[in-house]
Amino acid sequence: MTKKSNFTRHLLATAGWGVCAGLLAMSLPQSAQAGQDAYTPVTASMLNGAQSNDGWLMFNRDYSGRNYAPFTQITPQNVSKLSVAWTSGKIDIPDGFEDTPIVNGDYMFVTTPKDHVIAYNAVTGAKLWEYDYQVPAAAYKTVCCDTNNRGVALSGNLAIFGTLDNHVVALNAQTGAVVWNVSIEDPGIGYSISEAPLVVNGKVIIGSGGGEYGARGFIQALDAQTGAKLWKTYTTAAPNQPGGDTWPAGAYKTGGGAPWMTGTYDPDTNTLFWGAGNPGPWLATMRPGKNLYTDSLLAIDPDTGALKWYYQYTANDTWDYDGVNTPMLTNLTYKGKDYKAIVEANRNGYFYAIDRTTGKLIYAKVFVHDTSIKGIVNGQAVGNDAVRPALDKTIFTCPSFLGGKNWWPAAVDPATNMAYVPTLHACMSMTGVPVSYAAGLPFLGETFKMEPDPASPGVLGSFQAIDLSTGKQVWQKKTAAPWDGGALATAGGVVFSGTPNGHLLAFDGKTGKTLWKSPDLGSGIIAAPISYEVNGKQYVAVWSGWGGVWPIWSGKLGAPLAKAPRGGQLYVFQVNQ
Amino acid sequence: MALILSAAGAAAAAPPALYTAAQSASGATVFAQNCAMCHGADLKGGAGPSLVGQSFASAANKYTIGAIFSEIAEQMPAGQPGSLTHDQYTAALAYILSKNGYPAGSTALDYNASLGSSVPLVSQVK
Ligand code: HEC
Repeated sequence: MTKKSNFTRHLLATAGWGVCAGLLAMSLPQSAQAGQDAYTPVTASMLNGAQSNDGWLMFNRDYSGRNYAPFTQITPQNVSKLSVAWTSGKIDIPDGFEDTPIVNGDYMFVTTPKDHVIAYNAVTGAKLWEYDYQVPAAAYKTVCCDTNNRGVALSGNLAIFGTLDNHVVALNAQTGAVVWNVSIEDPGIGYSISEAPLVVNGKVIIGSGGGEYGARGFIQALDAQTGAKLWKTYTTAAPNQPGGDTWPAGAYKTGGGAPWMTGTYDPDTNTLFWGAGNPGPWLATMRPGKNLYTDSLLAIDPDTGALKWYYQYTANDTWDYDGVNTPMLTNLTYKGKDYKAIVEANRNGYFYAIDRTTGKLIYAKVFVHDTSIKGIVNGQAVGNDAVRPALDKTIFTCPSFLGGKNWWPAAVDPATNMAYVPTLHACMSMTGVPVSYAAGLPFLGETFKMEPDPASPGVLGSFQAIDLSTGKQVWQKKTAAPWDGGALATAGGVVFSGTPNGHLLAFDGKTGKTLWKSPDLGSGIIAAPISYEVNGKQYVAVWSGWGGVWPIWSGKLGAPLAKAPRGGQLYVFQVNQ
Repeated sequence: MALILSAAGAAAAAPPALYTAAQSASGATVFAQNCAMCHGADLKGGAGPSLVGQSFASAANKYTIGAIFSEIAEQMPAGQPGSLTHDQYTAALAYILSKNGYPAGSTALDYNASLGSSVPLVSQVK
């Protein structure tokens, strides 16, 4: 990935034309290449209406976060005719490809591990430009779970992304030239950024990673045009803030709570929803209290960064049950009552429905074998004290530290009234060990090992559909391999998700019947598929590229996939008529 | 006075001999078999961070042998913590020290003493 971009070469080649090139530059948009449309700047109203846009304008497609595309050309009847429209070709980086491609018109923007950005023609796959960010060595010091970058956000003429060394960079979407580049934290002391930013009302909103290093989590807002810093909201409460008394003296400073997955937004109430991650150190006996606002859903005013309300999923967490899975906005009916809800399949093994206007729990239903949470009392999960590790006390509990579901985007289809949830079936052993904080070193205080789930022998993964009106499972596809990739729902009734063995699968959203299995895409899929239309034709796109958290931390359970082929490749599918 | 000062300066510059040549030699094998797949055969990093040079342990980091060895002995190899013997863990540390410019000596690294050691660990590799 050190090649000069095609576009740079194109510029160099045309520079020799002298006056002619100057005239051309005046009459054409700067990057116009053969067959490439003029770029449509992304306005606030386009982002507000992203659910009906032909492209895929942001990480979870639209502000609701449902990963639901309204396209109907690909159906249960014709999905078996999917074939490859184009691919990126193999990209030789041996790390996990977790990017969600972003599409605006016939421009597609992708990121790779180690923070490279590439623009393609979304119809032909012609490469428009490539920008190779240089990550300094110090940044890799505090990357627990691979060198991921999950994608760009669009605003105006800019494609904006975060980096492992905590910069936010805005590129000219037509040329790949840097427009602004702002550092929001130092590298090497605990922080890193892997999530795609979200653009709301002209602001770039992005959250930090680093919960394994005692980094105090924060969400940062920047001016989308200039990169100027606007507000910064920490996710652990200081003593003078509400919730500050839920920490022992000073512990909030190294208390984690990394908001490391892209949030969602409700334009009706002008509220951002962002999840906060696990507390630090992992060993809870070192920080008695609820440890607000770790493992919580945060409702934030995007104008000021002020916290409107919070809902804590797991209080005083000691199992690494981050609360960062995408808060998906959907309306639902429960026990005869209508709600404007948020649904979230949590690491702690419960599927939550929360009233997004009040922050009150509607229901929480267990979706995976769970011994860490005893049940829900007064709207809150109750932890099982018998399986909390302590110094020299080893416990065994489920789900594992990777959760019943990890970061992989789930999807919601309003027509089937179901959520589609990639699920991990694993347990763990954990033992408390002494730890003291040192900037840049892991801050855990526990050793931990993934173990098979005795309740699901031979099954590490599943893909399940959950009825939004009951929180109960409708169908489930079980696999020996972990389910380790994101979900896409489409109005055509087809749901997509990829496997660690490198196949993209298509399911009937209603019944779970497998409708189609792609050929081997060369490497395992951990990313989420997307769908878009250009010139009235529907496409489905997904990265292959095995890596991410599973191969690093799964221990013996990872053995069957230890030698799985690496390297990324973007595949774009179409239905052949 | 000047003599004492420069002697102190020299002492700070020269890292102590903390392990034996036999330990680092067997550590090379331990590392190749249990660590290199994530940290790189050259220790320069991969899925796991670099274990050599200033991006691993600079003077500003103020790391100790105890902090780094605790991470190794309690957490590594990632996903299979505690799966090696005490001798293998100390050998791996000896190998990492050797690659960071620490000399071999006549005293062997001891497992328990290393866990609690407050001796600074500053890579000599620029
Ligand atoms: C499966 C991948 C993997 C293997 C195998 C592995 N490590 Fe690691 N190692 C990591 C990761 C990832 C980290 C980052 C720490 C974290 O997030 O807990 C790490 C951190 C470390 C650190 C702390 C470095 C720092 O600057 O923070 C040391 C030292 C270390 N490993 C040594 C070893 C040794 C010695 C072995 C072999 C006995 C080993 N590792 C095997 C993945 C691995």
